[in-house]
Amino acid sequence: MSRQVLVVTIASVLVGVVVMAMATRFGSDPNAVVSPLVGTPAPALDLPYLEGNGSVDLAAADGEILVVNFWASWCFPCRAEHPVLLDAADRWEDAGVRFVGIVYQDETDTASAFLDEFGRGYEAVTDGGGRAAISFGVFGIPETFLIGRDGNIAGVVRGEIDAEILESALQQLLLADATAD
Amino acid sequence: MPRRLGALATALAAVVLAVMVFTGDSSAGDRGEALGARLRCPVCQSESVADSTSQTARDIQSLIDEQIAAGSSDGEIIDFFVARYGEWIVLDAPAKGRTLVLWILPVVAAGGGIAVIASRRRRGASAVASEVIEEDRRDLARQVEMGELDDAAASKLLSTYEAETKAPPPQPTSSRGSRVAAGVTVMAVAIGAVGFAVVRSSEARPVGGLLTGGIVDDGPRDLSNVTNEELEAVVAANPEVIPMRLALARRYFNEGDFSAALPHYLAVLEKEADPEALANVGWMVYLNDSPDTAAAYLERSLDAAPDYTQAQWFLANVRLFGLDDPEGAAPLLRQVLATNDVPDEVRQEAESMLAEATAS
Repeated sequence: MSRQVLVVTIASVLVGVVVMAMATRFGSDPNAVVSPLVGTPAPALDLPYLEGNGSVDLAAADGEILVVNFWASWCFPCRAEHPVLLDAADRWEDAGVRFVGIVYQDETDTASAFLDEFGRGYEAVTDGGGRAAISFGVFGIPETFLIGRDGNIAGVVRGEIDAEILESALQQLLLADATAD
Repeated sequence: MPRRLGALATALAAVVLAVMVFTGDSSAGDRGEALGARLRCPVCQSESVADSTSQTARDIQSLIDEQIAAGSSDGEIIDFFVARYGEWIVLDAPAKGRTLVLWILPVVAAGGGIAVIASRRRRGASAVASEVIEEDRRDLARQVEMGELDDAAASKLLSTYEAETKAPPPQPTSSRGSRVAAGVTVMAVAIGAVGFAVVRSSEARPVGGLLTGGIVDDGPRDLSNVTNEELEAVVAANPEVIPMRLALARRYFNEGDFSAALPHYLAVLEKEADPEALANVGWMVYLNDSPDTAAAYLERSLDAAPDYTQAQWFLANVRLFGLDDPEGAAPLLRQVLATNDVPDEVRQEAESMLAEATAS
């Protein structure tokens, strides 16, 4: 009988250890999906304005720091982060940071209504056929991509952007940029 | 027997692997759909692009179809999506790196399970067999004793019984075995649940975990290659970041452009009593013919950083030449001279100043 107890205990402890090891997720957060695009050139896209004629050529923006935000009127976190982006776009404009909002799977009129309600402060463009979202490897909005003056994607913020994260990321991008050449 | 078991386990492993490898969707008629079935829908829960009805999946499917029409190979199309979404987008875990475990583990577990079951059966059967033989042996001995059988007949009968019991019918698993198995399962689930909860609750989430990418805080940077104009723009955009402002002010100060340096140093001093800002403002004030105010700045700098050689050197100058205080200057000059990395011209000047201070 004592042998049975020993076997049960050892086996249970072994299984427990394996489960605990699995629970550590080997130090990685499965929710944090790392974008393979970081460090690679941003997709060269020419996207038409949401309102009015003309388009934004992301490739031609080379030399500027770009903040590319994917949003939609149906996306609740997008409502929460919109004031953060508007404020940052205003404050960072003089430092050569350009904000572009890409409307994701939305109708033109509802997207415009969103801007009527929450305010305009930077360019809004549309993404026909979702090609821009696929090019940027967007999982779900909101997602914000930071592109350095070298045209490479420097970082991705998945989910609602936080003023502090955006601020610190832009500061570091500017510093990296200022010390680059 | 163990060799046969090993062979059986290997054969089973091979079959399992072959099934896993070859039951892809390559048989699907439509190539685009087959490719869609191999890709994970980014906005769904464990659903393929082909199975999902989401807008994103439809966009991806139409892009796949376009790429097929443009003559891309299956590998090129899969690579296109992997380059944007990572290996995650491919539904089959690659048989390499960390996910290799997912391929190996089932085979190892199946082989181990088969080995355990076979050995239990063998052990159970042989125990029963030896018990039966033992009983036969006792019966035969009794019959020989009672004269019912002679020795030769008994030993012949015994070898017949032994031969018969060598291949006994399979025995059902003992109830003891199932109790052990049940015990292991219950305790394992309990320990596992507790362990999982403990690890999950004690694990700290990474700071700024949502931000992925190359932007990391890796300390102060080398600002030597930046023009003054660039640095001005950075400082203007980041008024709260002191190291950048200090770097810019230091640059103006070293260039002798005091009118440009002063506002930045004063802006720093509004935030904190930085020794460098205090010392350099003190020196600029001294050069502006205000030795008393200058000395006050420099003393504050040394309060903040008593070993700051630049402040010692400036204050020695202010005291000796501005305030006519050789006694106050001498100890500072000795401190400067005791410092190792003082430039030669400063050392020579400090020596002559110390001679002058102590002579008077």
